[in-house]
Amino acid sequence: MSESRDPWRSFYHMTDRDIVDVDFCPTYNYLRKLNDRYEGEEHLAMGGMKEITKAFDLNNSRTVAIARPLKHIKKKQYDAFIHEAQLTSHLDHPNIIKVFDLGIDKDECPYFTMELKVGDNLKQHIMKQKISEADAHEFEQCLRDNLEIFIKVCDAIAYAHSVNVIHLDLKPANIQVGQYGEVLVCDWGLGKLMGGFGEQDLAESTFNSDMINEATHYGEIKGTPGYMAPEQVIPNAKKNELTDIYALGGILYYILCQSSPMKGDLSEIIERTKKNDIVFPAERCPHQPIPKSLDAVVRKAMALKPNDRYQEVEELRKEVHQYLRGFATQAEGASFYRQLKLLYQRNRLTVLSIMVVLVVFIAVVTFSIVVINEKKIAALNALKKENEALALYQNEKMTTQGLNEDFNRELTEFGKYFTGGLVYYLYPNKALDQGEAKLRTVLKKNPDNESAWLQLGYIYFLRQRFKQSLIYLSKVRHLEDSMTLMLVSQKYADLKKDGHELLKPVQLEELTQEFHPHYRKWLLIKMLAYDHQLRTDFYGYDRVIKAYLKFYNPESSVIDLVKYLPKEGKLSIRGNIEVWGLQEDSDESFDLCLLQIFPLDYLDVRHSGLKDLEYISSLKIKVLDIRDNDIADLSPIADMTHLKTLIVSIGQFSVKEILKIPEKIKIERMESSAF
Amino acid sequence: MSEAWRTRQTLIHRAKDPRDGQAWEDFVSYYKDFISIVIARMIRNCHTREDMSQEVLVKVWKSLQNMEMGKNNAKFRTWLSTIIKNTVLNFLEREKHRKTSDLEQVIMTIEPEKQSEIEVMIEEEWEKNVTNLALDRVRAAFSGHAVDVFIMSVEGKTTEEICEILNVKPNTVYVLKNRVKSRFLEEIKQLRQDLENFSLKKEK
Repeated sequence: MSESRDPWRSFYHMTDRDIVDVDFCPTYNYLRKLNDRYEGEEHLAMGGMKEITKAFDLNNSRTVAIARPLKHIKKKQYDAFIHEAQLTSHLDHPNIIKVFDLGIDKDECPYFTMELKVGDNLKQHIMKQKISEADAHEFEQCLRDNLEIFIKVCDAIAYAHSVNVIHLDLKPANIQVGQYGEVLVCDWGLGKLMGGFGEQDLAESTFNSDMINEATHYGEIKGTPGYMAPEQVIPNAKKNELTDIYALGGILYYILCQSSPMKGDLSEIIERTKKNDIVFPAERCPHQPIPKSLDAVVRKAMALKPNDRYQEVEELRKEVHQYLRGFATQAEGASFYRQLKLLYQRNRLTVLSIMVVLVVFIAVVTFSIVVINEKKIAALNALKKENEALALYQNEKMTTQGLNEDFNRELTEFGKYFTGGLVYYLYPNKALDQGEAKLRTVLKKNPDNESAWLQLGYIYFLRQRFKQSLIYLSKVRHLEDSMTLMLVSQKYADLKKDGHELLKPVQLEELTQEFHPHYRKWLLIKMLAYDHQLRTDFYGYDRVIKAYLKFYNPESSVIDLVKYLPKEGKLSIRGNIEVWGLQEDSDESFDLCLLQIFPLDYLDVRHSGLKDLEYISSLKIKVLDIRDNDIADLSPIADMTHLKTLIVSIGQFSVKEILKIPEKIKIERMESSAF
Repeated sequence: MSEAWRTRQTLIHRAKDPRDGQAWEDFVSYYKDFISIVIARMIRNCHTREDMSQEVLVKVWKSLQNMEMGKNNAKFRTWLSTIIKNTVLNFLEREKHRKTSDLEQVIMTIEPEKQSEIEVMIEEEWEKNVTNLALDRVRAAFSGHAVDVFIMSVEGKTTEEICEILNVKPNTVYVLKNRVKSRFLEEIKQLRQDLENFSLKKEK
């Protein structure tokens, strides 16, 4: 009809919908009229099978890359081309190139379009960095940047493997790097969809694995020399995910060395690939600071046998990630020291801060310990004084209440306090002074306290102030078993001209014979402890010690010789001694070695009848000679913290026994020569 | 004029009222040309054509008076073309009985088998009439190049050509063209609503 010829009349027939379309949807109208979708095609690159051009997609108003099979490609190979597009569009990952469209053009030739990123491929990207001219710091910086890219490639491949797709042609040239950190894995032309289990996800896909796999069955060897795994160059060898891991190792190699793992002509490379004849990065580039840990990662990823490689991309990724975070990689098998070093590098500031805090802390603690030690004795004394004050208060209270019986018991208790206990043997003089002071306060309040007078007499007896002792003891009406003390005091009060002098060694020896250990067990050891502390001239003191030992030993014991050298702190004893120590039989139990009252460094107890080292283990001696004794157990030596040298006879102890001795103690084996 | 259009009744409906002289005048202004052209497509003689146009208008006026609105739901145009056709046929009948009849004046033979052809012609002429009326209104509504741009684009000139002729930017061409087109289509819609129906169908 003539309708279409007159444009004006068409307006007459326009419906409401037509009006909207024309006036308000110009883009729709524009698209409706488009004949050619792609405009201004320009050549970009050419591969083995396809040509990539750049064109403007009029439909979407964006620039895309178009892939078309090369002119010489035969129609029977078109399916392989199409399958690449289908395989790629099956993959949906930010680091995998996106296929937009797949179709057949006017010339009946298949084509597909992909996203087009402005940037370089990884190979060009690394070339541009000019790492070979960089210093160590710049190298490190470039390396870190490139490893970030590598991590993204790993992400893409891990994803592809998760949907059973393997790439089989991974190499730096197939990785597109954008200006803003975009990383795209491209060219899935050799990609393969793995059959077998886990295909459920693919059930919905529009293509099946049999179809796709035809593509890689072309020819014998496919891939890029240098990045191809050994199984890719061996005909009919099985290719799988581990093949991609080998190539990833190759890319990491490239990142480290800026060159591919192998160079040379094709047949040479193939031969070398089969043998895995690779010069690894650290060796290849000795002048560059290539991290050993990453060298180890490359070695593992590019192992000849697939089973020796990383079994999953995630493992490889984790390793590189570990490196970036400053941890040791698994492949490296880092030593404890290296891990410690990395720990320090990762946390330089934290570690330094901790160190400073620690040093300050140690300094403060050390200082405090010194101060505490200095104050320890003072504090101890202060404590004693407090106790005294308390006792005094109680004493007063009790006196006024007339509770004499209780008071006496209390008094005995604190009498023990200053004369009993181990403290006495350390500071006998002080202990006696304090004891006296306490008794005098008691006596001031209650001069009739006989027990206090008796204690005071005892103190003066220990001090060998016999005249004074006599005076105080005489105030006690019921001396009873303390009569001996008074008699002895009387005897020596007469002997001593000057009341303040100590007895001569001979006199002291004699005095020991006046008593019997059953009478007052602690009297003699206390007396000697005090005596030794105050005495300056030890001439003839050997006999005192001998008598002292004899006093505590039964008659069956033999004491042949005692030699005491106070200046050297050395004591030698011979004989057959049974009793070496005293045991407190009251509640406040402790063992006291008889020799403890002497400040000894060197103890020579050769042929002394010592059977158990436990007896002398509390001594703070440095050298101990135990030759010619029948000792079964050496374990108490471990308790002798001051001991440095132990002298034993040759063959005295079994190896087993010797092993009980702490390492720091020097063992001297000597001939048994007791005399 | 345009204000009156906004009332709920169509022009035809109002023209029916003999007291509404303005409505009838409007009616005549819209239909006069159309009626003349349709008659001219059938009869050559100018004087005759004018007489017949008058006769048709008188018949229309009379018929409208007697028409019961709402009962006749036929298209007004069908009704009008029937009146025109019958007027022409009556004239031709009268001329047959005169000896001096000059049948050469008749362009189209009004034979029964040719009836549909006449209807198509009337339809065409009506469409032209509506678009012309709409274009007149658009001309009144826009100033400057706007309507020229629109007309040129409808007549097949490309945006580039229009830019060159009128020395304006392509974006201006696009905007003007669409604005005028939108108004133009709106006017057509209004005219058709007002001139083609006895009453407002949409209001029912």
